[in-house]
Amino acid sequence: MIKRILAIAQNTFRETLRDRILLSVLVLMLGLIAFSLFVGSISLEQDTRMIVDFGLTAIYLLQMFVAIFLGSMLIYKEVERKTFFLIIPKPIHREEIIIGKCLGLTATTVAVTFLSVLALSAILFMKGVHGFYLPILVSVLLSLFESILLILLSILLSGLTSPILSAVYTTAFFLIGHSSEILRSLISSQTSLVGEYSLRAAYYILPNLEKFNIRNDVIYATLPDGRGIVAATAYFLCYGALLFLLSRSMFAQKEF
Amino acid sequence: MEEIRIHKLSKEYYTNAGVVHAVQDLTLDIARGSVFGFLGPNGAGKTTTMKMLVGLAEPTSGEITIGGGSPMSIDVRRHFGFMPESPAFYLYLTGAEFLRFIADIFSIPESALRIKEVLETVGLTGAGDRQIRTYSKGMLQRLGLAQALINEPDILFLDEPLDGLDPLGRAEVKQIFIALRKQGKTIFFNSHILADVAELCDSVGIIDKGNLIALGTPGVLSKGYRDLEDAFVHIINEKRKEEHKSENI
Repeated sequence: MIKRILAIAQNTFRETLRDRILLSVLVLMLGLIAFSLFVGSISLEQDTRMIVDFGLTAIYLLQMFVAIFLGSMLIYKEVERKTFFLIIPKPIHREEIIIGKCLGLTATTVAVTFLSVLALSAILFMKGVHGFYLPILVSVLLSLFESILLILLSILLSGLTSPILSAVYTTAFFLIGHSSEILRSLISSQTSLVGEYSLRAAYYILPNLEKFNIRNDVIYATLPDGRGIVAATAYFLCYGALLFLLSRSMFAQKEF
Repeated sequence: MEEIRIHKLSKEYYTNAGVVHAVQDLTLDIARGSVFGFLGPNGAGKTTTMKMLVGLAEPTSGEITIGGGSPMSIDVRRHFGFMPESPAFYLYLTGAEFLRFIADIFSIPESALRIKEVLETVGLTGAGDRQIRTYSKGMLQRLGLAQALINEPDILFLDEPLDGLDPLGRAEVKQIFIALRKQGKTIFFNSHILADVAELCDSVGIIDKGNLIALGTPGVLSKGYRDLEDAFVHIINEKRKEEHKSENI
């Protein structure tokens, strides 16, 4: 079973890494990280914060690109181009394919994240700035959790609809996921019970992706409370398991 | 002994226009070590049947047994190979990388040796290190056949395996079929090239509008006709005329 999952993961990793779109976006984001040097140089004694802020944003955007766009294409492309016709009839369980695909795309995210973090760290090192490395690593790890959730979500949606719609829906979930606080304030302002319970249900069902955002703390070289990080990790595991079960059920019933 | 048993197999699709009966009450027994040709016009239900045989689609009703088990079983799938119609690959991988990926799914030990063997068998020696996106249509067909053979299957399901090959390629693939038959493999294949079917198959089934309308050896089916192609056209036309008559009554 492990060997089969790893075979799918390795194949997905290899295929996505050779994708020219990913290479273009990676170059663009590395350019953005390098550009942070210029932005830092014209800011008033805020250069380190600007570099970290720019760098983390570029890494985050890169992770989200892989999760939303490559993730949305992942299953659909296999079904549309019929590459699945060669895989499904082999001695492999369909859930192994989902796990393998998710692992492969996560490995791609890790690889591009590693390169970007390396570039950012090199800039900070050259500028003689220390003390940011651990907060940056924790922040990048939490945004990696967020991207894994979005990969699972886009796998689920790409099995149900076209890649464009899947990318649109995943982006919508991504935006809503970062608006949980707005949702919470809407709940408290509701006067009707139906409205309140509907919004409350939406609040608990939709992902709360702000849990993975500590970038505002990192630019001040601080880490948030450890309990928050543990809670975010537990939330990632539970929500990830739920998305995996839904994807598995969708995929088990899918006909080709 | 029967290697492939299909019993009262039906497949229905629900569309906006109503129910489509892609396959209806199909019953077939294919003996071990034989080559079976499944023929029919476009949209007759050949590919749908093939998809159900290899577990890509679930039958609406009926039963399929392959080597004594269900095609959904992992153990059964270890023993068969499948080549879809116009197979599609991961274009940025090389042919050898793709075969390595398939070999890993089968957990084939010493896969490098086996990959070399199958590349040689299908005539792709020297092309294994090239990215698949540079392959011609004929080379893609050969790679499709190579991935179906990699696990040394007892049973082969091949959907239009001779499609896209030039006469030389067709002759080579036919030789592979003959060699596989000699090794005692059971082959189930769909094809439009009836001359090849007549040459290769022990038995033939003709399907039209989801119904099996003729079954027998190529010799028996062609009796009284010029060749198998002539028999195929007449059998289908006669069946359609009968249907048309009964509809008018």
